[in-house]
Amino acid sequence: MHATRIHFYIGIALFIFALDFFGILVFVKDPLAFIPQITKRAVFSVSHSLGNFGTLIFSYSQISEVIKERDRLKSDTVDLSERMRQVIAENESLRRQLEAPLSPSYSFVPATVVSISRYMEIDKGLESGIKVGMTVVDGNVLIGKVLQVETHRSLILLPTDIESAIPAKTSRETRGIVGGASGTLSLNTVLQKDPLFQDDTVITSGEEGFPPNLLIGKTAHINADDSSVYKQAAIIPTLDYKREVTVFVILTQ
Amino acid sequence: MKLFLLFVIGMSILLEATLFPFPLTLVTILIFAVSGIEETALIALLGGLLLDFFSMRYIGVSSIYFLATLFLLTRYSKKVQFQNKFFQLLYLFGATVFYSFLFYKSLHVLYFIEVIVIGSVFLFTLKYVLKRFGRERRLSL
Repeated sequence: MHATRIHFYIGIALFIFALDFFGILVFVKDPLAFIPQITKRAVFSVSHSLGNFGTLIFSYSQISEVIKERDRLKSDTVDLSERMRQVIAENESLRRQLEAPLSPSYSFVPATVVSISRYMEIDKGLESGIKVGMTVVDGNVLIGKVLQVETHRSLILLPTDIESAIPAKTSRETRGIVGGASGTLSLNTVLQKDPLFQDDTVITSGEEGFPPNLLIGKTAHINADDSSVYKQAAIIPTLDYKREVTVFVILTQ
Repeated sequence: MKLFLLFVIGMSILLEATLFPFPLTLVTILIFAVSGIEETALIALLGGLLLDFFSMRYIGVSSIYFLATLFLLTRYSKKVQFQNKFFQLLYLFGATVFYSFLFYKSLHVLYFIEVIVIGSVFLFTLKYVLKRFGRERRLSL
């Protein structure tokens, strides 16, 4: 390797970086955006399939037990069907009394997950009305916030990312900030005086652009050091973000 | 052999951009460099551009990092025994940890172990393949 050649290549890279930084490369990037989408989607689906195949192999020895379990479950199904009918009826009446978890005024853009490396990439972008800062959900579970948008694709900042900071509260109205580190999730900056227990549900508090009452997870072990101002709780996320296939972007003004 | 190298760098880019927030592409490029592959600088430029396009970063930012790392490697290869496996792994470790911090904000003990294990396996496998097919050369400066 010659140093002069490396200098020349660094010059080229800097020039291309400058072009992209000032948005000049958009005319090249947008028409070609389908290439990474197609390839990444293929790799992502293969990894999903391999994951399922691995699960099947590891559970092979348990198949006979599964068959017995299936027979037992069959007989339970009849009882459960009747109970479910009752529960559904009860649930419907409760729903009428309670507010819906998400405002009916929200409009959603369904998007397919293309890949999940550090960020989640989806196949919708500016053309679908998606803008930076919009919230992404699956049902009433928070998936993240739109971090970057191009014409046909967007990047989502997941709650487990180190740069994520989501104002949240627990089912006991204890407030804190949900943040991530190395794929884990925790509720931070909780005042020592505020009640915080295991299995408390953690939801968004509705600040900093996040809609209120979106599920994040449940508190696991509490880290309360009396000498520090705040206490902290690990959170078990409601969803495994890596297994998401379709998500919904909430369109806001 | 060229096809093999293209396949390795292509897979690294795809896996890094799609599944693993881990600097696979950088590891691959550095291993190409210490294995004495002449086209490493060009691979670093093009691989970086492709990685940025796939990862939705500003295009060119990874290339600049890759090439700067290669530049340091060539600059100091006379002063430090870079043919020594220990130095190669140490440099690989330093470059990947700094890259991970810059691009993935990741500094975790488990992560460091991953860098060492993947780097070592990758380095020795590629060295073996290159040796077997007679492409291994010393760094040309």
